[in-house]
Amino acid sequence: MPRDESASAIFERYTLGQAYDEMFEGAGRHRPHYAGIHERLCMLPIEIWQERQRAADVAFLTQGITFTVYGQAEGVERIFPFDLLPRVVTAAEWATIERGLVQRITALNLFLRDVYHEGRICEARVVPWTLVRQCRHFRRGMVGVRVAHDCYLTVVGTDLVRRPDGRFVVLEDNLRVPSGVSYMLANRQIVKQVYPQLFERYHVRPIDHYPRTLLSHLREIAPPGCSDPNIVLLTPGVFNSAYYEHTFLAHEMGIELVEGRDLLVHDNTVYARTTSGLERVDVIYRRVDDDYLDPVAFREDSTLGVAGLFNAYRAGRVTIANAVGTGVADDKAVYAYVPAMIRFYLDQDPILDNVETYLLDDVRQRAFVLDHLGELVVKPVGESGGYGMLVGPHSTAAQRDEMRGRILANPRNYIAQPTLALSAAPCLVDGGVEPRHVDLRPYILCGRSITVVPGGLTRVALQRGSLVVNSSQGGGSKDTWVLGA
Amino acid sequence: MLSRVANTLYWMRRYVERADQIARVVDVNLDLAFDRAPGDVARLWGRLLPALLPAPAWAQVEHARTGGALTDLANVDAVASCVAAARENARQVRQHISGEMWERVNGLHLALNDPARRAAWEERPHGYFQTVREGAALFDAAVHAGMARDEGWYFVQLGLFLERAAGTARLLACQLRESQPAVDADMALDEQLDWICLLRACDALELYRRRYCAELRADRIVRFLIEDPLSPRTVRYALDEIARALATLAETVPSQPPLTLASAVTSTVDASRSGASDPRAAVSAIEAECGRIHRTLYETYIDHRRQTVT
Amino acid sequence: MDYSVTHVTRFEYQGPVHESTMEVRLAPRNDGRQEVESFELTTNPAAAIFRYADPVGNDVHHFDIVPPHQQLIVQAQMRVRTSPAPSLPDRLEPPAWDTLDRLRADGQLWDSFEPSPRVPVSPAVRAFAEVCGLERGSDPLTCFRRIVSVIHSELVYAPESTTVDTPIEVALEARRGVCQDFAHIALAVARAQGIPCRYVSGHLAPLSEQRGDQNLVTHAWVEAWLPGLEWTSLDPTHDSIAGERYIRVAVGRDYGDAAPTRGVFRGGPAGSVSVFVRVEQGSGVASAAEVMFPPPRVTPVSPQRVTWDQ
Repeated sequence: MPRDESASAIFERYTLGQAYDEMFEGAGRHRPHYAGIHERLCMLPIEIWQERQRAADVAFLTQGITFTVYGQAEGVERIFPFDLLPRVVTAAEWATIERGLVQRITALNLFLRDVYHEGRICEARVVPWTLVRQCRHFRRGMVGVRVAHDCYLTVVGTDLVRRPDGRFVVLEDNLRVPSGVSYMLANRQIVKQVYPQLFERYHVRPIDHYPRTLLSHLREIAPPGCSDPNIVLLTPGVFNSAYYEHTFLAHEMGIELVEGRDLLVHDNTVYARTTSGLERVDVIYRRVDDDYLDPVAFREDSTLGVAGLFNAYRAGRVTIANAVGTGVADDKAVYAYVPAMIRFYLDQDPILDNVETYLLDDVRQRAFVLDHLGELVVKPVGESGGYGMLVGPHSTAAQRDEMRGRILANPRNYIAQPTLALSAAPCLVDGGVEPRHVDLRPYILCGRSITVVPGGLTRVALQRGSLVVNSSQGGGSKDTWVLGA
Repeated sequence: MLSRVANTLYWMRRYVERADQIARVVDVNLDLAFDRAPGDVARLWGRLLPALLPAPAWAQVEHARTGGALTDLANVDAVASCVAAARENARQVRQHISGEMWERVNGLHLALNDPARRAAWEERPHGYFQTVREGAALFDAAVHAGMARDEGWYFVQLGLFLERAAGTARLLACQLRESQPAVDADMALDEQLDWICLLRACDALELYRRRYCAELRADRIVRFLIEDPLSPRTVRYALDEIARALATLAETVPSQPPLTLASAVTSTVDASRSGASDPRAAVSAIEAECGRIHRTLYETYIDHRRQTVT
Repeated sequence: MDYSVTHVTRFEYQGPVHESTMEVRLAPRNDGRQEVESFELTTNPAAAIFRYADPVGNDVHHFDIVPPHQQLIVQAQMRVRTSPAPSLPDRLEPPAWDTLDRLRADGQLWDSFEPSPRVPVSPAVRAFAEVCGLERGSDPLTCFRRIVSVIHSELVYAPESTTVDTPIEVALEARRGVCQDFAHIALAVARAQGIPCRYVSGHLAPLSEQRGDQNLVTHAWVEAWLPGLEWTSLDPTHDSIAGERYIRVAVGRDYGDAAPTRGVFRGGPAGSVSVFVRVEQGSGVASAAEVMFPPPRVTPVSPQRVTWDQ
């Protein structure tokens, strides 16, 4: 392409930095797989783009694809801001990602089984027992419990980022109740309406099989002897910020959406209260945290769960997906050991690397981190949503001091990582196209086999220069196009 | 369907109907209050309000006995709280109702709580009750247009018609306590106004006149409101709808014992046609039957605590 | 020694409750130091009883009762043979502390080394240990014995001075408590020194002159894991080795893990619990008539609140 293509006004504010740019390999030189998009951007006037973006926003609102932010009393429903320009991943890049994710999830699943049974990896001193037991989400009640088909993980969302050298690395695994799938599916729907021809030309791999695939994996892990399992989706209810996603998925899968109070455990069997009477439930896809699942086994003040559920689960009378206690493997300190897990269980080298991680429980690593707080990102090990973290380069001295105090009070609770230059992708901003930092959350579905859904949610930090992509803190999303070979 | 969802749909509809009925009764009586003597107005409210509002709300409307206080909207938050309850129920089952249904009930709730509008209603209370009546009518239209005729629909219908039948019966009982519907007796003006209000509150004045001509006779009015099968707001009409819904539910949910209206009650209603039954007893039987159906509905389809699993 | 134990828990509710789900730890442990010859659990109202072994080897039973009831009686009858406690050496040889420290660093016996919900890290405990001069000393056995002894002499055993939820700081401050507090404080001090130890709940067979004193029968004590000796049981309430008269029912990090009953129910306001225990020497079983009667201790129980009718 001639150099002055990029001089099109639409790109006049597009600057390249240290980060890998998804679209441009150098000034004025776009990457081959972005040719079609680049052409469109240069061709169509900005007003068209703005109009399309507005139409997309309206479509989200009308369809009610919202999440709720609970700052005020009522809770405000917001749409998760969506940027119209797709993020493209080549077939070759995806092939590596897919292989890497399958390998990683396989190892994590084996780790979970191991840690709640013989603990070979800890006995072999590859992963310290203390690390595992200190984990808030380790559930002692799960020790020795047989899980259907040893399948602890059914839905996983693993966050990837692309380094300046172009390689994808794993930022974290989300193994408890990962969300965001409804945005992935909604984004695709909207984008197909906006770019039908481009979509065809690019041979973008489909993702609409997600609900079907999840349903089929849930059927696979039903308790033995169940010929036609009754599957339900357990939601905390209308006040949960991801409630829309629960209703969407239940509807797409054709299963009943239930709350804890709709279920009853009688004689160690789980039932749903229906107008036809009590109907046996075999598989529960739950979007309720472990702590709230059962007031007899866990928090007794929980009204979101079902009394006796854990005992029925322990007896193999019902399957719960994801299994109870998976949080021990998505602890950010345990994350640092995933490459070691891959070697231990699979005798392979990891295909996808971790981000370098400092474990603050270790004296030397802690000293280093405390000396370099301004350069690092510090995160609590058990949280999600980007809460409680410190982004060194963007922090004030007061914030760093506060974090220092928290680290010293409870070092096991924190890890630190170098600030990553997340890759940047083009976004429609203020009448032009500008780069914004993105990550990638592919979704992996597991039953007796593993399915990686091509693409996933590309999350965008909407503010210029910001690295925080989470929905609750001002992030947005894009559709992800994985190209067919 | 989930028992909780059925229960929530049922109550959503009952609360809207309750709010509508209170609004109707108060609205038509406010209208005609000018034609009454002041002492009679006080007596009227004193009589009507306990029939309309459940005990706690009624206790707060104490000074409505003086007749003036109904214009104080704070006192009729019984209506607003019915609408709020309806809306809360609707929110809990949002994915089982149409977007329009939600917008109607939510819109009505927001309107009743809008400070600007409430200020205007202080001057003109008629506007408040009118808003409720319109809101309820729009909600009803949305229900008809937007709900599939599945199991949920029949719970909605039962909510509506049980509330209507019981409500109409209560109003009749209230009226009958004051006067004896003697045959061919002349009525005092006040009494005539009472009966007109009742008919208007039931949207039945014109239908009554069409059947019985303009002459107001208490015994005929009572008979009409109990047993006329064609007018949509009579007890008989409501009972027919209830029977229909119960029968459909019995078919749709064959695993549960079918519910039916007690034959004693249906024959009492039929006997009203000929004037053979005592209207007070009939009205009392109807109220009791509505209560029984409500409880049995709950025990059969909603609450399984008495069931053991074999 | 052969014992037969009857343990009756009676829950009384002020109003009917339903959907009661309960888990009990009433069966004695079959663990080589005692032998369970029989165990039977019955409930009234009747329920199907299920069973599992929890990760620390407690024999757990659970059941549920759906229909409304106002009273629940859980009766456990068991025959157990206990053995005398092994005699303890005067002291343990030097590598003992190192062995424990290594185990701890390796993450072994985690639950016994670490603080737990009812045995938190506490400045009050640290202060108490300092004041009493409780420190590691030469070997963990001596240390453990000293801890138990000191607690026995420093605290007054006062029945009903605390409840199951009283924090240990309260008992420590007042220098009085019940056996549960003695045990928790011993655990706190011992764990602070790096001795892995756990809570034991069970029964203490009364001496003949104590027959009839309910308070002594249900009992709590502690055991420490010590190199060469493994689980070593001492009773801080009596400053003794837990020998033949001690029947071990459940172990855990603290009372919370070993509670005899835990559960939730729906409906009803607060109720009360009463517990009756009889321990008889020999293998005779207490007659049914002796069993059903209100015993001395009554503790208020708060219900699981859930309501969903309107």
